[in-house]
Amino acid sequence: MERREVISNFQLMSLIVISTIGTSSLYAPATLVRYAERNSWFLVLVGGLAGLLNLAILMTLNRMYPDKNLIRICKHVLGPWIGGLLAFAIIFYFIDVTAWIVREFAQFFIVALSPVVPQSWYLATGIIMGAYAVYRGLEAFSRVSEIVLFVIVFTFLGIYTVLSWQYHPEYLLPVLENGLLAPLSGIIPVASWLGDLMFISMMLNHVRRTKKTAAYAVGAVAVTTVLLMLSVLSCTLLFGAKASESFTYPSISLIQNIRLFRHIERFDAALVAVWVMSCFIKLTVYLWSAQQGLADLLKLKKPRMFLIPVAAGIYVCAKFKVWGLIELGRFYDQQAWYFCLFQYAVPGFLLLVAWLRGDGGKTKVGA
Amino acid sequence: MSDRQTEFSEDLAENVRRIRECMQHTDDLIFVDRELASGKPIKIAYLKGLTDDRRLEYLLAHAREFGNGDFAFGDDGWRKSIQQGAESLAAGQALLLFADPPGAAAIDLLGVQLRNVEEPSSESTVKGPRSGFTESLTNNLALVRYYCPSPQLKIESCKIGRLSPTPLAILSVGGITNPSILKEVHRRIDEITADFIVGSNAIEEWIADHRGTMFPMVESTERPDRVVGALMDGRIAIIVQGTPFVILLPFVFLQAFQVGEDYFWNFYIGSLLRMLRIFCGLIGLLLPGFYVATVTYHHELVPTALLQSIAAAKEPVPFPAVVESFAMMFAFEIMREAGIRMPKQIGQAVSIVGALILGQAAVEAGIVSPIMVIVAALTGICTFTLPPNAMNYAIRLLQFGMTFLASLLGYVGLVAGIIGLLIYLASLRSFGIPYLGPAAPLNAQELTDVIVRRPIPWDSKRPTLFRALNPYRFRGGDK
Repeated sequence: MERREVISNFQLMSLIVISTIGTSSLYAPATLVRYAERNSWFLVLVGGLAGLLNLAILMTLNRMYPDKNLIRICKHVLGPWIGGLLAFAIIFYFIDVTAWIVREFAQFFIVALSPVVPQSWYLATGIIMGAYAVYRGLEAFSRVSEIVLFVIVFTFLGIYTVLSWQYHPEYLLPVLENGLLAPLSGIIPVASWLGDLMFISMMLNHVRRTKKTAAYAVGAVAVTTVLLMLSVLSCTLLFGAKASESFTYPSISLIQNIRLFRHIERFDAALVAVWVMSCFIKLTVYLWSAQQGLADLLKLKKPRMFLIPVAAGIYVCAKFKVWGLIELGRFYDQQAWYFCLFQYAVPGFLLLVAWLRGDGGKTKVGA
Repeated sequence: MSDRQTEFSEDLAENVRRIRECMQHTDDLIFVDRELASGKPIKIAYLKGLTDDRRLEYLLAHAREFGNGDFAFGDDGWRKSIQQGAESLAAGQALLLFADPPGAAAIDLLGVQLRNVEEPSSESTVKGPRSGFTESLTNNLALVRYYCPSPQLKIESCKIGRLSPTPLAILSVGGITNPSILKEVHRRIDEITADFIVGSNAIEEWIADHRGTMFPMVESTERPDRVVGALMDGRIAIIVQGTPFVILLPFVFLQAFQVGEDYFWNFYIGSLLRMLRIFCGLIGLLLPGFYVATVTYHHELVPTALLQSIAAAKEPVPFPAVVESFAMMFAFEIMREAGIRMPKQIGQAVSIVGALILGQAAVEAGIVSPIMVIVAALTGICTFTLPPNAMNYAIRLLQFGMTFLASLLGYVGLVAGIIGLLIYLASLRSFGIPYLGPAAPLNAQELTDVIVRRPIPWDSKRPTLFRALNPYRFRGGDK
């Protein structure tokens, strides 16, 4: 039997922040201004509340079943057949999300950095990194996430600060001129980004629980919301809403506007580092969740043996998933309900059934 | 052979025969006949050359004055079996063989010519103590006692090696060292099944948590002041007979960038030097890869003026940057190795000839670009700033891997390599302590202390990483 892995509250927080903010902050400004124009910061704020709602659902489920992950909760609440089917769907979702992330990872470099390198090399790099981290275990990549968190947060804050003298505050005016509801037409995509916390349902039973665990998790969503809001605000303040919409990756354009001491410029390498690190953490947490899910559903004694076949499947899936960046962006924007279905509806449904079963009043339900 | 057969008998001639047999009839085994004051015959056995002549002469001259039997020598000096007697002889002791009661008394006469206490060649300092360990376990223990005259210093001795038992000592400080780590050290040492042990490196490889890693799992030092500092932090030292390198454990990655001298300078200078070494470590690991990635894939990120000079310098070179880089790094490693292995006087000349003439000639011949020479030289010099431990070698080896990844995928490959390395390091443990601590798992206060050398009066807390029983060095200092 493998040793039980345990992570700290701060490590959980790091994993949430990195896997939520790192990738979305690069292209979110362009998508969100399409719905809310200069008021997209408000959309992010409401998206943060949606993220908190998702977190509340997952944390409540974990409080009811502290020894179980989402897959076991499924089987426990809905029985072996229906629960097993839903658990299988959740594992499929984990694998599918991993494939999306790997494709997103490769697409960014092809578009923004080096189109001469074949796509399959980037795909293979992403999936090998993720599989290696999963092989090394939850504790190992959680520790690395602590280092990565500081790199990402300070890089983003550094970018936004250095650009501050170029901002045009008037680009934000007038504020919410069409009321509070008009910008919310884009709530689905933003909720799918800020509610991208499904993986924690597989991890919470590995967290060394203290009284502050919930506070750390809420803090993680708050940090994510603030960083995404800063990203959106920076783009709007620098380029204006209309120009931000025209960029594929507005954050790259942001960083290309940085010039220090007149001659030092082109800090794109920093963005490459942030993108690789955040994509790596994100795909690792979902791949790990998929592996854990498979191990629980199929009662595997050596789940690591399935890592290579699953990783190979993800590679193939990622390669043929979409034709290119436009299709990928359109899916994230227009088919965001697919992600929201698994992020909000499935855990919400499980919570409802658990309450109906009468497990809500108990502090801990049997293993 | 049963115990009965291995025990000394009342027949001295038979005992002599069996000892000779046990010691493979070695020619340097000498037996001398003497009589006690009571008239009883005894035999004195010793290995010629291994014993101190002056003390041996005294023993032979005053043999009559010795008492008879184990009561005169105590349990510690009394040998009951032939095997024990042979081991004592091999360890440089003389044996006084008695017929009644049957047995032998062992007297330490070890007289091997060893070097004196000198400045450690691998850890020289500008400021700070100059004494280093030698090959003698006894001397080394005395040095530690001299630097740490504390009654709490605990020394536990044992021997490792079935055929050739090598003495070693495990040092800890009562009330500070965590007993569970000490117990784990004992357990791992007890599990060593080697025939013989040469040097502390063999012990290191036996007791390490991960045997297949290129990263050092324990620290190795020649300096007694460093050993005492480690003991006071709650760590454990292992001193092995025959080697001046003392093992310190547990060991974490970031400690590889610290040297004892940091504490002998003003804390500003100590901190600066410490940060400089970390920075140099990063350059040593990443600079060749960064250069290769930049000139191969990311020209657009280089300022135009610099790009023009790089392009002009590379123009006559027929090889891609990665080939140039590998050639220069490989040549540098050859020169470094030659410089170490050659006699000191010639070694310096080899380095100068290699660096100046070979580099200059390679540039003029159009084999490498001048910028690549600068990159290789800077990388090499940066690795020289790191303490000469296994981490240094690991970084030098990994720079090849990083450069290879950078040549495949540019910056993406480089960052992927860094992440892979971090994941690997994060999965390592040294005696249960996470190898990347205190960076990951993060302990901000202790991480500051690893990167910055805080003023000593502010440094009242011991590192929690090593789970010391007493968390404070002194009370009330941390203000």
